[in-house]
Amino acid sequence: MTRVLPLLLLALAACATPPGADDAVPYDPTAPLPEASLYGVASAWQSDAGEPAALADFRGRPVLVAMVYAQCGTACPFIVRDMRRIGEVAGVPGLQYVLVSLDPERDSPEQLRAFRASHDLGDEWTLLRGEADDVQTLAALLGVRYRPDPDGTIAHTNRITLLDADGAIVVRQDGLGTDPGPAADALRSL
Amino acid sequence: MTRPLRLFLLGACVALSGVIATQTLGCGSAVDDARADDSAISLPEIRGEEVAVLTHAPEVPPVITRDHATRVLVRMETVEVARELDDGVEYTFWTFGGRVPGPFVRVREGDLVAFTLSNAANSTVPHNIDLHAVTGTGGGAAISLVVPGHETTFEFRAIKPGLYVYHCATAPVGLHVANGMYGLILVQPAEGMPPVDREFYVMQSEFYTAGAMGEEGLQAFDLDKAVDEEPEYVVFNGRVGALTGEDALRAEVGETVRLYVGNGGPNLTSSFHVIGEMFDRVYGEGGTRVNQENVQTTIVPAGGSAIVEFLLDAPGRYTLVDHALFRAFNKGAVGILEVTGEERPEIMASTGPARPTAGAASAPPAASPAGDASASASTDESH
Amino acid sequence: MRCLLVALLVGVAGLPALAGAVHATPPEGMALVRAGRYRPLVETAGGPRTVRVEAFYLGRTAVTNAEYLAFVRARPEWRRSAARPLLAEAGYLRHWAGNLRLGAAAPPRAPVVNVSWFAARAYAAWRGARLPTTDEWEYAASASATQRDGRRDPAFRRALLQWYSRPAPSPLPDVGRGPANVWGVRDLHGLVWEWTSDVTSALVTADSRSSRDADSGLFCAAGAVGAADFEDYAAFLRFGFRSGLEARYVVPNLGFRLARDA
Repeated sequence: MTRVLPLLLLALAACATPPGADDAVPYDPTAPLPEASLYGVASAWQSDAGEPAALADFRGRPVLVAMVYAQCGTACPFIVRDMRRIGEVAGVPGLQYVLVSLDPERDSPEQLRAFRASHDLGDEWTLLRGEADDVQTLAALLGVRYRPDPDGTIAHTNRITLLDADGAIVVRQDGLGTDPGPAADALRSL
Repeated sequence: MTRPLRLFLLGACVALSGVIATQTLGCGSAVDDARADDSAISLPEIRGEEVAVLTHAPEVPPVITRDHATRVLVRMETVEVARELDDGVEYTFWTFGGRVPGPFVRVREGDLVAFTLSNAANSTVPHNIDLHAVTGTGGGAAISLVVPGHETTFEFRAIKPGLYVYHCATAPVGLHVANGMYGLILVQPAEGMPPVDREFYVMQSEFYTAGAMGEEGLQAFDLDKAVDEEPEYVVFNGRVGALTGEDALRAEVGETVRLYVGNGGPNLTSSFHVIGEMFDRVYGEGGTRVNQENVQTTIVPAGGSAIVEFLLDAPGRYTLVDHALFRAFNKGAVGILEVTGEERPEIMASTGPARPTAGAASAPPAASPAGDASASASTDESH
Repeated sequence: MRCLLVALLVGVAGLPALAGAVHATPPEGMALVRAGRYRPLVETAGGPRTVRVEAFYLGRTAVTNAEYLAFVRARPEWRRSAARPLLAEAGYLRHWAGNLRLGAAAPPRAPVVNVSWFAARAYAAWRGARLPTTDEWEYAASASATQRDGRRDPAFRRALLQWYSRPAPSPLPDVGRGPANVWGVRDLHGLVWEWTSDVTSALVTADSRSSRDADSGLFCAAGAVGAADFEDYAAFLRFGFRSGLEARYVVPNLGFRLARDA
């Protein structure tokens, strides 16, 4: 018990909600995930640092997630910009930004690091790559459609999804340059 | 600057700007930072909410009398159902609301329409809806696709008044329309339309069956005939005889009638005519302005409409036709308007029995029905 | 003379090698679909007009209610009352009488329907197989009884359109009653729609009139998309159907069959 207690306290501290949050109850990362949580679907990922990562790592704080790929010079920079906008408008501290590669074969951790650098993405951003099956599963859960085209590009839906602290979908924002208002409102209400 | 050089530079500018556009805006060229500023169109304030009254042809929902825009709830279900196209002839229609044409939707200019489209669970294919009254990509089609057993809701502002066709626009569109998925939506102008005594909903369309016209049994769709634009049936309101006999339109002498006429196509343009009447006023192509008076036959394009008004001067049987006559008399494009009331011999009457023409003296005398001096003042269609 | 015979025998033995890779006997219930090229309905600008499909095994028939019942016995998390809404919407297996009872509306040998893409995938994984890709499915489905590509045959096309001219039967008939195509696969047409592994790639908007420029705000399309053959109505219908699907949807006339790498 004496060994466990400090660990528990540490865990609680780590997952403490940011000051000023509405709920006084700190997030319990050991509580069972609700049925609607995407984190309950088994998958394995790798970060752009080359480290293994799991979606459940994001438990405890809301997440804005989108699926892009490094070679995409057209829409994807706009998705990144739009994600930032939602964060700015919402003004909620502790927001996590996650980008998942639609092209894990070509998007090596190195490629993803280059993408991170060229877009000046800070620590609150995580870039992930995974097996083709897991990419397909996540895309299916998010409702993102994508299709590799013969010229090497990947045609894909432009969608940003807001997940709550449990990994359940709260709201979706579709298109490029869409008004971040509704997503920001949803984020603030979490 | 020489002309060739100017043209070259112009071409280069266009090409370059095209390149820049694709680079900066990428695939999302239609949507960018300068998102459409809605203040260009001033939208009236929405007050309250109501459920739209939908009617089956030939009925039309009552005139909207409110003086403000409101949120209108419209619900439609797409249903694939086998029904009679002609006596003994069955066809699997794809429909809005179980019948061809789909229901008549009536809203007011400025209304916010909340449209819920559901697809029956036993449907084979997905469906959606494109309302010509909707301003925006596909008229709502892209966002309204529903697979069997599902439903979706979308909203739009009816900013332009007029009489519009709606139809299913799921791939392949021709097939969905050819199977009967169309109807009319009237966006009543804010200032209203002049009052009339009766309004009717008439929609012309064609059917392309594998069997010849009249061949009994369940008929399949024939793609070759559709592509060649050679229908077996051209009908009003979804079947041969939909507006005849007991189902004929009815009105009374002295009334002003307004017909909302649509053409679902999919292919043919209609030459719409009412035998025995003239259209006092025509809102050509279903627009909001009377653009012609005293018209005999008016065009109703495929995927389009027309509004016609006429005062009924005399009683009798008036026949609605597509004046491309073989469609009327051989393929079913015939409907009846029965007008009852006082006879009006001063409008039309026969002045005596048929008689031989002058100069036919050598011909044997016609067997003259002497006792049958039919100087009856009936307004038979003499056309 | 003997030399000639030997030469002949060697030649004959070598023929399969010449014809293409020799494949092992197909797994039970599956047929070998040989490698080939086909022209997909949806084209992308600058892309090849034909797509090569590698040889693969495809289920001769769709997965049946009875087969799916065995799956949910083994995997309780996929029983009707337990399945997560995230992975299968309400209506999952609604035609069954209970969690483990088929009932009159679900004949054992009829194709299982009202299953989501996640469910179909889970079943495939349980069987050590997978779902066919859209290309694989369409390639196999372009075959008539006699030709690898029967799509130019007006009779073939007409037969496909017949299916849509009739209201859907209820309950669904047993699998395997339709004629086998040239690969020995049945009911790719005329019975139920079928899930494919990359159904989420159906990107062209359901509004086929605007398929030339997909709603560009929602879809980052790599160029103009057109239809290879506007008269291939059946393929259009399938394509339209896939565009309207989400992975968690269940539809009363949507089932699936298995595929395996060859």
